[in-house]
Amino acid sequence: MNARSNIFWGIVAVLFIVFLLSPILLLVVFSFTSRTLTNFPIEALSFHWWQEMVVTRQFWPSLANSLIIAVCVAIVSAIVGTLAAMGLAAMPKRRASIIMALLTLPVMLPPLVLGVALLSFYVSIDLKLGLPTVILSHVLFAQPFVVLIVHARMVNFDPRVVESARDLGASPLQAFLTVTLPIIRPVVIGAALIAMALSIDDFIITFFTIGTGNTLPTLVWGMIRTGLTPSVNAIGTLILLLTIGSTVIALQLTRYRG
Amino acid sequence: MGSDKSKPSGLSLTRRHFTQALAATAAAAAIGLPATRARAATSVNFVGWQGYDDPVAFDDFLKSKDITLNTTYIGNNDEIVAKLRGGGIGTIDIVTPYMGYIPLLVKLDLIQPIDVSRVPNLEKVMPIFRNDPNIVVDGKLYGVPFTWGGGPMVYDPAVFATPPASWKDLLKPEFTGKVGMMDDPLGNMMIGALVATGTQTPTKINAAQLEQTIDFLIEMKKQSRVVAASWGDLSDAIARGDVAITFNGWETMVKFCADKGKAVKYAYPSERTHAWLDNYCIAKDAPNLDAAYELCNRVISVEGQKRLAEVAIQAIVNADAVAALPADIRALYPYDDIADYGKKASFFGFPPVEPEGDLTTFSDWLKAYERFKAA
Amino acid sequence: MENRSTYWLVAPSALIFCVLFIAPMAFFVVLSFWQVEYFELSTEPTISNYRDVFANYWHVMGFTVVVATATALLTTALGFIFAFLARFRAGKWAQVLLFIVLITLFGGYLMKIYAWKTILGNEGVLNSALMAAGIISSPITSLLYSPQAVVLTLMHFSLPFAVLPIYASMRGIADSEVEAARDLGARRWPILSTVIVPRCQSGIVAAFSFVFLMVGGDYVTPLLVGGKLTMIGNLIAPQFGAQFNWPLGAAMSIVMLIAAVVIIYLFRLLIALWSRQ
Repeated sequence: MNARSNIFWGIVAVLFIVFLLSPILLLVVFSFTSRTLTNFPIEALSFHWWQEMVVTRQFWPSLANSLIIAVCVAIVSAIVGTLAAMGLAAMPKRRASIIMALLTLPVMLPPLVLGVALLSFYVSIDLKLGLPTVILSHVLFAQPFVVLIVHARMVNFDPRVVESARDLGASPLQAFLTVTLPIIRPVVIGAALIAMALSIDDFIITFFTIGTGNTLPTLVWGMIRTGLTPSVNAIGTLILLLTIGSTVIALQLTRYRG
Repeated sequence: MGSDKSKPSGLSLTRRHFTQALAATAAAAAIGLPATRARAATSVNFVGWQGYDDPVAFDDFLKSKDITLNTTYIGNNDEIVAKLRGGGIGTIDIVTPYMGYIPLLVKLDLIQPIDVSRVPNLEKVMPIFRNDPNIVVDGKLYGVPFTWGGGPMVYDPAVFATPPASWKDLLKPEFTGKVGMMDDPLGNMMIGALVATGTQTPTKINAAQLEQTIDFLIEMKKQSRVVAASWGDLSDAIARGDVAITFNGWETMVKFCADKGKAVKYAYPSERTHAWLDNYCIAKDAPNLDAAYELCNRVISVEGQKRLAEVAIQAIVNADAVAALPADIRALYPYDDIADYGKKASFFGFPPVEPEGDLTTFSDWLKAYERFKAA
Repeated sequence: MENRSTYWLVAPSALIFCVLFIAPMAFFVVLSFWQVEYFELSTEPTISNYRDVFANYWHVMGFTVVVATATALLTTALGFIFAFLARFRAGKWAQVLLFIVLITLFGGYLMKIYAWKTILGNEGVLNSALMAAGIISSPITSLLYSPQAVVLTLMHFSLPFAVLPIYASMRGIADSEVEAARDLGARRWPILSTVIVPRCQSGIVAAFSFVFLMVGGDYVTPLLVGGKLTMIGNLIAPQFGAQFNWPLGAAMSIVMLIAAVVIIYLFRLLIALWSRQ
């Protein structure tokens, strides 16, 4: 009875894993096909489509734009989000959870609605579309994640450690730098990496707020327009490498000390 | 923050660390931001169809002029209007509209007149294109025409050996689920009007005719498997065997499909189809005017035009370049008798932009097309 | 002093929230009462956009609500099963399962949709694999460009968003509670229905809301794998592109959000009723 139930749940687990991961794995596998269509049989493994990718005229500027945006978003969200998380941790619980729910609202909204609302807002206040408007928009939906992740760590944080530092004559800033920051640093870095992953992955909001120019996802969108060659898979694999890579590191950082 | 009353010496080391960290952060941000601004080359913002940047970008011309191209691809002509009106004025340099859109772009004050003296290659452009009535507004030239073509029926000869004679035939049962459409509002409605109303001037129709046109397009949609997001997407659907014939098309799809190892053909049904003439236009307040003129001149140069004809299999406008084409490429388009092409595909004007008698305006068209989309 | 500085710490975050969220959304609502006539924006307040939405696009709105509800129900159910598996059945494998969910959470929106397109086509991965294996002799043509393809794709990328909140609320249930119910002689289904679901209410509602909103506002999935399928997002997006009718697009978005709030509220009532029985 118990063994049968274990087998049943084992099969369910395998099915779930296949469903979640197989599209992603196939995407990666087909970036190494030697043929033009992304289907079986794969006659030979080759780096042809990766070579195609790096000679695509728009590839390097798009990669640069993606990275510039992601790094700026990560830094700004990490600073702003950590400050907010610290403030919220010191507040009464109920008030903190209301503020946190409010800050999380932009994440709940469909990206399309957020994207077009931001586009019309920027245009109406005569802000020129470009990388800065994309960065602002990404910070809006990335910072709640930083707040949530860092806050979860801060509430387990023993305030007496800071108090004793203050008693020894440290200013609030000094106490923060010498006591609080070293303890929460891994979580802050982890949260910044999550913000970076979210930023690199975003397509819809970038599409509406960038004006002209490309990031990796909007480049993929442009390439889908002329047909689907496996170099799209190569760029896709690169995007996944960046987003999943930073997520994995972030999980390590936030879990081991959290 | 509170003031520093006492400074325990133990903290100075940490403060130095912090200063270093700050400096590093600032440096990281600095690498990013000015890099986009302080690039040595002139960065031209280009908004157009995929491949339309190729004739100016394929060799080292851009490098020799110290220009880099920042390309945004569009899926249909309306996106040009959208990008320019959605905050693009002042950042975009070049757009590549179809000739019909030029009066609209001029009316909306989105593009600027071309200074002919700065585009010497214009002299080589065949007069029929250079003098197209759509691209000249109030006696001023607003576009540099560089390529043309039509909206044929593209089909897979392995499935249908001979294409049907009429667009209407696509509604027959043997085509059910095998037709592919493309989300090209103006092109679809022009063909739709030709077929559904029998008019010879599909952009000058009244409300009842517009209604008939949309009804016909909705019938066609029921018959189709896909309304593709782009020409590439439609080519992909044919190459993968998801559809076998198209309503509306582009000659260059033959090349897109060949790239995927699929041989397709095209035909011009009896009701004819729309023809188009695409242009490089310079956006109003273009930040890189000199570079923009360089590109306008380059796209109609013999080298650029040959590239377009030989690699993208597109029809070109420069008479010298046509003369220099290999015979097989030259034979693809009726360069010697362009008037004859009009029997298959015609250069129609644009629907009225403002109310004009009982004719439907372009706004009405866009509105009506929503009904097709929503059906 | 201590207290005031606490609020100052939240200020930058709150400023971003107000300037980049409250202000744009407020402007968006105002915008939905303006009008575009021959490409010119008129700021004369009117409700004609809303009338337009209800007169001409109600069936697209209805279809979107149906697809979003179906996808959200299916995904929430799957998410519940997955969370249950990870919390009560997987033992030491739970960490692995959660890890997989987390890494698929933060990456690959566009790439996942694109992957499904290459999987489901006539000559796609699935058909070519089945044919190579000799299971079928001609391709199954109805996989791509169908409502099923849209629902499947949407379920795939929204599943992690459903698993996590449900799992989080299941963590609050002690093993001893489940065991106590079992000792009292309750069978599997009643335990699930009377002990676990009621305790996961907030997680289940959060999962449903997340998925519903994500699906209700999506336009890329129908565009790439839906063939000629139109959801409300496919009408909203062109208003800010080709159609240049921002006010109508704003009105469509707002009606969609209101519909979402209503459906989510109904779902919440349903779950609350279930839990009270």
